[in-house]
Amino acid sequence: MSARLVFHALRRVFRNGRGASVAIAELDMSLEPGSFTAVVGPSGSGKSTLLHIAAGLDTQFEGEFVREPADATLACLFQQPRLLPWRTARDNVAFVLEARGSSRAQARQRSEELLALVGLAPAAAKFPSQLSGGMQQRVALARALAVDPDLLLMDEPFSALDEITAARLREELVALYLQKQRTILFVTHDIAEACYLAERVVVMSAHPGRIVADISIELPRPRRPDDPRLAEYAGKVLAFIDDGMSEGAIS
Amino acid sequence: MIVPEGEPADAARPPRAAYAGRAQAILYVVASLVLLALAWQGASFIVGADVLPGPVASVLAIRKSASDGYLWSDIAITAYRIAGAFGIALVVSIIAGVLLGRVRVAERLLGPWVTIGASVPSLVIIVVVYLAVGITDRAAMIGTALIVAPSMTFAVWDGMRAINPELQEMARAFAVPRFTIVRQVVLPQTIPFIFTAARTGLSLTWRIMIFVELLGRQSGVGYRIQYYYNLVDMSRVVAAALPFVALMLAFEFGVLRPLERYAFRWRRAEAR
Repeated sequence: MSARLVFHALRRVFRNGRGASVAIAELDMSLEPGSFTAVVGPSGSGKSTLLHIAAGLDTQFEGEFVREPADATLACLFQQPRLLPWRTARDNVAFVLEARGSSRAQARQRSEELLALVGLAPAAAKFPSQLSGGMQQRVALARALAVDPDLLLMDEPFSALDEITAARLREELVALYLQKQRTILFVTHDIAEACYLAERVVVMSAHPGRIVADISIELPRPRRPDDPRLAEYAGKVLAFIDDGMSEGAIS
Repeated sequence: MIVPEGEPADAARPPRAAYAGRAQAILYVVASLVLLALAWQGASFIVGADVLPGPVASVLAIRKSASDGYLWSDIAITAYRIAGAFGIALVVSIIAGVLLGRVRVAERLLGPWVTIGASVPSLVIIVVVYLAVGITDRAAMIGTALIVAPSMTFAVWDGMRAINPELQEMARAFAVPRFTIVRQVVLPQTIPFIFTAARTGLSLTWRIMIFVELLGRQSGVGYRIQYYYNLVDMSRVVAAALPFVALMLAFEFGVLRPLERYAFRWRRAEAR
């Protein structure tokens, strides 16, 4: 099952001793079940804040945020793999399964299957420190898939990787998405990546964070990263980001 | 669609190279010990054997002490007191360190106490505890623990600051129950610092306990050192301390290090 996300009149203000900064000024957006949405924007546009709210990690917002169904299973993939360094690849995946009540044996078996799915079967018994950055991020992907999420939240998951590894993982992500059709919210500052992956690209501007454009990418899959039509979309997105920035500078 | 990535080059060294490396390591340890014995002998020549007996004289004195019959009972009683003091200090410092590291109010209110505690002269603490508790083994343990605890608390406290909040955030995003997060995500991160605290704490405990025994006990290594010092029998003074030094070293290399290696095998992989 896929989850639906609705943000209505969402506002998030960070207050500290000296003052307040508006991370998200006013945001209305809904994600349909099974959709793949990318949010792009410069740093300070509140896109990571949005993801934290969607993940339930940040509850200090104003306005409305609804996740349907309320008990939807969600999984996160972060910029850093965030693996437990003292657990092997297999036990890192098993960790989230055990925490959800699977027996140890079940969790281990399932995690080996998932590691095989992301092409890491031979590395199951290795510790994260023995794996390359790309392999660690694959383990994190296997962990995210382990819970069979209704909603997959991704926060610049490929930006810390070299471009060759990142390209390969993007391809794998698309393949998994087409196979499972789960709702995905993907945050990135990489415009080309957003256009290549998503069906819909939401452009945010900074200071304060708000939506300046909502573009659907009407290209059939599989897409080729060097498709000139993708470059066209990217140019469009970039124009909106530039507009948003100059507007922000004036106000 | 998903291409398996090649395994990273397995960095485990071939067995022959490993043996050679091990032999070399042992050679260095032996060389280091021989050099130390020579330096000791040299120092003994310079200041006089009656003030600082050489290694051979000291080892012979150990045999004399052993035949007197209290060598092993001294070691046993001192080891017992050290174990008690160390246990108290470890529990206190873990509780205090975790509290200071996790609770902001505790850090602000009680943090300075640790610094103050660390700067109170050991002698004052020992004397006060002996007077308050009575001149007993229990007082010796409590007094030593109080002296050792501040530096161990600092180590644990520092460790708590180094805990990575991103891992907790990850676990929360995956709806891992709170208690499981503490047990499986937070606690494992504190173990390296608890090891550091234990290691420095144990050697400090041993050195302090000798003083504490000297001041108020009628048995143990510290008492024996004072006894022979008063008789100006320096070879027996060294002979009293030497077996316990060996015991502490054996504990360090025989128990603590292997335990640490096992607990941090995931870290060793990193060093490769």
